[in-house]
Parts: sequence; structure tokens; C-alpha cells
Amino acid sequence: MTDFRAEVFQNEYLHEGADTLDAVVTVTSTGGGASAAPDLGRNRVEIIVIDCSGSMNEDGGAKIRAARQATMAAIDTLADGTLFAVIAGVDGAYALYPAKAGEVARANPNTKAEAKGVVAQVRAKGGTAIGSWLLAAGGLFNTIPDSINHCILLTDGKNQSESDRVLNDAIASCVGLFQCDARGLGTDWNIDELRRVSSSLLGTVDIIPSPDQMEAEFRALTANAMTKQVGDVALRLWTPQGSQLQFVKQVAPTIDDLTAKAAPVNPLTNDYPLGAWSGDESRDYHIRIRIPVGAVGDERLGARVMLAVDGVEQPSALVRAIWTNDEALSTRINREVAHYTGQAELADAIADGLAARDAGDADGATLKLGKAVKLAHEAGNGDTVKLLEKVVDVEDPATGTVRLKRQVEQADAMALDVRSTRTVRVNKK
Amino acid sequence: MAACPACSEPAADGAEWCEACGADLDGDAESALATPDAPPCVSCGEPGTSIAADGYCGNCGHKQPDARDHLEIDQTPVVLVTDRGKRHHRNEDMGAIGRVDQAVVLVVCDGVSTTDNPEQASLAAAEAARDSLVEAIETDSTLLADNERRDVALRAAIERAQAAAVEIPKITGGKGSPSCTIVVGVAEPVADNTDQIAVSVAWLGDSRAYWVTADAATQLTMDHSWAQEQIADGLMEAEAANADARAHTITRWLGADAHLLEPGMASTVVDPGRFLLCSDGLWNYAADDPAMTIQMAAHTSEPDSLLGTAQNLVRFALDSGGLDNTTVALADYRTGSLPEPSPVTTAQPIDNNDDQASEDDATTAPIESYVGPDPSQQHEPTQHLPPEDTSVD
Repeated sequence: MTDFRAEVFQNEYLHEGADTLDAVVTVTSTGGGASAAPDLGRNRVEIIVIDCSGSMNEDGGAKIRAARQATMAAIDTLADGTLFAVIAGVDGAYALYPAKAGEVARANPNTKAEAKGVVAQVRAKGGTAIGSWLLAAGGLFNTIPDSINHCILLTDGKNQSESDRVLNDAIASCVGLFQCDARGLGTDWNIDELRRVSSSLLGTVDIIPSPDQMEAEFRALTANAMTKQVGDVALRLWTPQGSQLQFVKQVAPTIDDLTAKAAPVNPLTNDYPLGAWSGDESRDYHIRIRIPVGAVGDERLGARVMLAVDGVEQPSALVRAIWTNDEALSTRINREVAHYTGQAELADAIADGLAARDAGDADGATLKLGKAVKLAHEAGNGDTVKLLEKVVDVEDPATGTVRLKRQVEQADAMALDVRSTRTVRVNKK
Repeated sequence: MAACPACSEPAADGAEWCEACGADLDGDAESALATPDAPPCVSCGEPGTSIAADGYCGNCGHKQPDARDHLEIDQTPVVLVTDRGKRHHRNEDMGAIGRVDQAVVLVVCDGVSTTDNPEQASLAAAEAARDSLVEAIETDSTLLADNERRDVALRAAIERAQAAAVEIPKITGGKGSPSCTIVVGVAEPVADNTDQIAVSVAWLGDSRAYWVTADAATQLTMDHSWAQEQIADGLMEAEAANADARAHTITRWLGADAHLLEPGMASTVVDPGRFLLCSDGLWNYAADDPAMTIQMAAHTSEPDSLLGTAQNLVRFALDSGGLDNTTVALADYRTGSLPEPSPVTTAQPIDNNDDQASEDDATTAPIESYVGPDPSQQHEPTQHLPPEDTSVD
């Protein structure tokens, strides 16, 4: 049995007249273990979509060979009993396994061997229409009620065979139906397209720079999906009459703005979808609320933080406001809030710096990426510092003194972009 | 033993309200929360039915007044009045009173606001000390007549209060171990001579004890505060020490991180009068001579009830600014012996933050006649600074 709890980190003291509350909510699941759960009492469904467009034949066929190997590794990683299907994505979507469109198979040694046999033969020819791939996956997920649904989507190119609107409509129709981890192979794909997919479908996006890294990535993604035990968790926030929830952001392990995903429960309560959870994980959320100002000495709730786990409401934590004229209390900055404010600033500095660089604004790029180096250095984002060092030469990380590199590998710039929202957690003393 | 539905603290059977969080337990209309009879939200007027068990309004989120915001325990001739004051969001003071025949036990504790859950520490410590002494006197009726056994009992009460304070949990990522001051007092007429009262006190921190007669109030305690220690050690003149920013920093307290648990101890034999214990929320407002001010405030309500006197002292602190929580425990030995208890009256919560309403409140003694010090010369309220090793980041 997986237990969930929510903890609130905040400075509840507001100075006289202040109206803005910041809090970090840590949501933790325990008791289920991180390994594949043997008996969920419900189906787990995994669909793998591999790009079979003509460009996968490049590099002497290295990409398509790697895609075959990676998909076979993912199939091997499926827990027995998992319902699964493999889809080939081109101008449309085609069932690879099971061969009959609209069906899924239950994983066992026989079906896995059959599926791998089919995948080993797959050839690349055609275009890229990611929206149609998502719709095909959605159609399969829709045939199985009350299941935990996950999709791995691979592309090596831009969404050229359909309009952006078709893609957006397809994404919208899949929201809440399944989670999708999107991966771009090489450097010819569009970060914005895959980020829209992963962000809307509560998954992750990343670059796989070269074909030989694909197998390990697919294995890891599948293994992670197999740990999920609770399909549908929501952060349920009650806020008082007259207040405004300014934002709700996941801030660890990655930054993802959930504000627009609010689903009303009643006039004062909204659900923010957190997707599927394993029995042993922890994520952080930063919320900011404006509430009507109280008098000194008043205490007011800024939010009741609840969790809806498969629709069942769990005990809550409180975001409180206490007005005081004791500045020693009201000026304390909560450590968690300060940390994630800094992490968001770091992500913004990277995005702004790369945008300036793409626009040919060398000064702006140097300034922003230098700031990013400084922030990453201070906060202990070691991985982000390494990514930045492939785009800029760092002279002094403490002051953020950097020079743009003359030659930057496109894969390195894309990796920095796509991983800029990865955060480190507060260093618990 | 039942548990409070709001905060899960144990609650005595038949208790009217939770002593830890103030939630209403017996569902009476006086302070009921989340019951059909509950009063509407004090802030937005939403019906009481939408106020949650933890006291927050389901519409505007306003925390409803807590029973501890203003609490009166009337066991005349022993009474306790404690009040949140006007600027603090909760009452972290608490006291406890007890009586065994002609002996009384008074306790006042003041939660250290820079620590976690200080309001729980003060409650637990006050009750533990009171219970310890009441049990000791009930077991040994000559206890208070024997200096040695009496002092052992006072120390034991402080130790039991410390054990209770240490039990209060810290908050994860919080400010520091729950802490509070304590002053305990015992009094009893001297055997075969009811014109004399034997009084003993023990304390840690800056909550005080006074003996109040018609002519004077005598301070029985000596604060464990930075200023007091500078003066006592001859390191500074009183004026300079009291003007220092550290003046009110307490140097001894109860709690898991208390480094010095040796209590101050004092005993004396006095003429008939009233035994007063109070937190600094009261004596801070006596600019030059707390004893004089307290004596005056205590006597402006005569010949009113003992409860009226305690209310009057608390109201003096509120009218002087009410910057801190204020607690007063009083026992009446003006006739040399304790009068028979009057029928116990239920404490009536009064709204201390609304002067208009309280003036209309029949349970509040009129105090127009009080002549106090110039409020413009008030001391700043006590700053309870945490010990250095628990400073927050």
C-alpha cells in the first residue's frame, strides 16, 4: 500500500499589509517500494512509438538499428502481465505488435519474443506526423479501463507531415489519458514540439545525442514506468475567498508550470494533476498565493494542501499567514522557497541566454549564460554547470565571467536547452 | 481518556475544550467550532457550520478565536486569567492553579516565541508543576511547614515541568526546542498563626511572583534575564542594563535545550494579602516600579471579587498596549486564611480585542478608576531571544 504525505515549507509570518504567500510543498510516497509491483489490482499499459521515417536510415542505418535494439531492450524490461503494444510512426501510425490494429498484448515470454521478432524486421520509410502517433496510442489506451498508462515516443525529426494545429489537437485529446516521455534522437528534431508533448502529458523530454545511447535510455524509461503503482495523483488546493493562486509549479525533479492545468473541484478548490507515482518518490512544488490582507495578530489560511490519490482525498497540510509587525519574523526567507526561486531563475537565465545566442546577440547571451553559470555554481547544480561548460568557456564561476565558445556542438546546445529545467533539491542540513 | 478531534492531543473526560489547541470538545455554544450552533466567522460572517474543526473558516480562511485567547479559571479564592493580548497571533502563556485545604499552588509559564510549539510547552509545564505540588501536599500535609521537604518538592515540580516540556515535539525544519519560562508558588498560613502566611517560590526565566497587600507589592522573584544578571553581578548600573537591547533576553528556561535548570528559590513569611504570579506581559507595563503599579492595579477593583482583580490586572496590560501575552494567577489570603470556595462559575470568554464589546460584558470588572503609568513610557515587550546554539538560519 502506497502512502502519500504533503509537507509545507514556508515563512508564515507576513509583515503588516503584505498579501503574498510563498510555500514549497514536498509530496512524498512511501511504503510501495520502487521496484515493480507484482500485483497492482489494475492493468499497467506500456506503448512504445518508434519513429520509422526515412531519416532513420541515415548514418548507414545506424539509427534504425539502434531503434530496433532499444525497443527490444524496452520489451525485455516489461514486467510480465503488462499490456503492451509497439507502434511504428511515419506519416501515420502503424501497428507493429500486436499486428492487428487496436489491440494490445499481455507481456509474457512468448509475446515478448514475438514482439522482438517483429521489431527486429522493422524498416524506415516515410514522414513524421507525431500527432497521428499520439492519437493511435490514445486509441489503444482507451480500450483498457482504469489502467496506469505510459508511452515512450521517439522521433529523430521535426513534425513535418502534419500541421502544428493537428499536433496540438492530438496532444489535447490525450491529456489525462496517458503519460508520455518524449525523446529526440540526434539534433534534427524540434525541442518545442517534444516539450509540448511531454509537458502536457506529464512526462519528460530529453535528447539522445547518438544512436548508441538509445538502448540504455529505453531500458531506463521502461524500468521507471514499471515502478508506477498509483496512476492518478492530484495536488488539491483549497484557497480562501478573494485569493488568487498566482502559480503552482513542480520545481523538483524538474520545473514544470502546472498553473494552467487546474481542474475545479468546487469554487474554492482546484486539482493539479501530478500523474502516476511509484511507492517511493518525492517531488517538490512551489505555490504562490495572494490573499486578502489581515490585521496584525490575525491568522488566516492561505491554502489547504491536500492530495487526491485515485480520486480519494488524503489528509492535508496548511499554508498559513500570520500578520506581525515583528520584522525579525516577517523578513526571514524560507530556505526551500529561496532555493527554488533560485532554480527557476537559473532555468530562465539558460533559456534567455540560448535565445539571445540563436538571435545573434552575443553580448546578451554572454550576460545571461554567465549569470546561469554563477547561479548553478552557487546552488550546486553540478550537472548544469557541465552542460553550460560545453557552450561557454568559464573564467570564473563565482562571478559568472564567461566567454561564448566559438564552436558549439548542436547536440550540446540542445542538451543544455532541454535539460535547463532540471533542478537540484534543497541541501538538507 | 479521549483525544481532541482537531489536534489529537489527549483530553480529559468531560473537558469543555482542548487545552492544547483550544478546540471545543463538548460542543457547547460558548466556543463551539464546526457544530450547528457555532457562531459565524468573526471575519467574514460565514455561518459557523463552514468553520473547520481546526478553527479555520471554510470561506475566508480566518482562524477563529481560540479558547486560550482569553481564558479564565475561577476557583475563588484561587483564580487564573490569561490573555493573548492585542498584537500576538496566539496566547503562548499558560498557568495552572490548585488548592489543598489552606495551601495553594500557583504556576505561570510563558512560551518562548522563538521556539517551536511554545504554547504547548507552557501548557504542559504549568500543569505538570501544579500536579506535582498538589500531589506532594496531598501526600504530606506538613510538607509546606518543613523548609527542606518544601524545597525538595518545589525542585521536583520544576523537574516534572521540564520533563513535560521536553516531551513537546519540535517542528521539522522549525525554530528550536519548545521552551517556556516557569514560576511556581506555594502558600499556606503559618501553623497556629493565621496572621502570617508562609510563601515559597521557584522559577526559571522572567515570569514573576509578588505578594500584594493594601500598602505594597513585594517582588519575590529575581528575573533570569540578561539585565538582571548584569546588575546582580555588579557589572552594570540598572539604568544602563535595562536600556540594553539584550535586557529582556532570558538566561534560563524550560525545554530540551535548556542549559541551566537550577531554579531561583525564595521563601518568606508575610502579612495577609494576595499572592500574585504573572508573566512579563503584565509587569513590562510598569515603567519604573512594577511592584507599585501592580499593587495599584490590583486594588482599583476593590471590593470586587478576586476574579475581578485578576481581570483588572490583565486589562491594565491590554489598555497599556497589550503587546504581549499576559497571565495572572492570584490567591486570596487577605483574611489570613483562605475563604471557603464560592460556587465555581464557568469561565466566560470575553473579547479582549474589542473594547466596546468588553465594556458591555457583565463579567468584566469596570476599571475606569485605574490610574497607571504614562503609556508613552512603556517598556518594549520582552524579547525572548533563543540561545545562540539554536539560532535559526
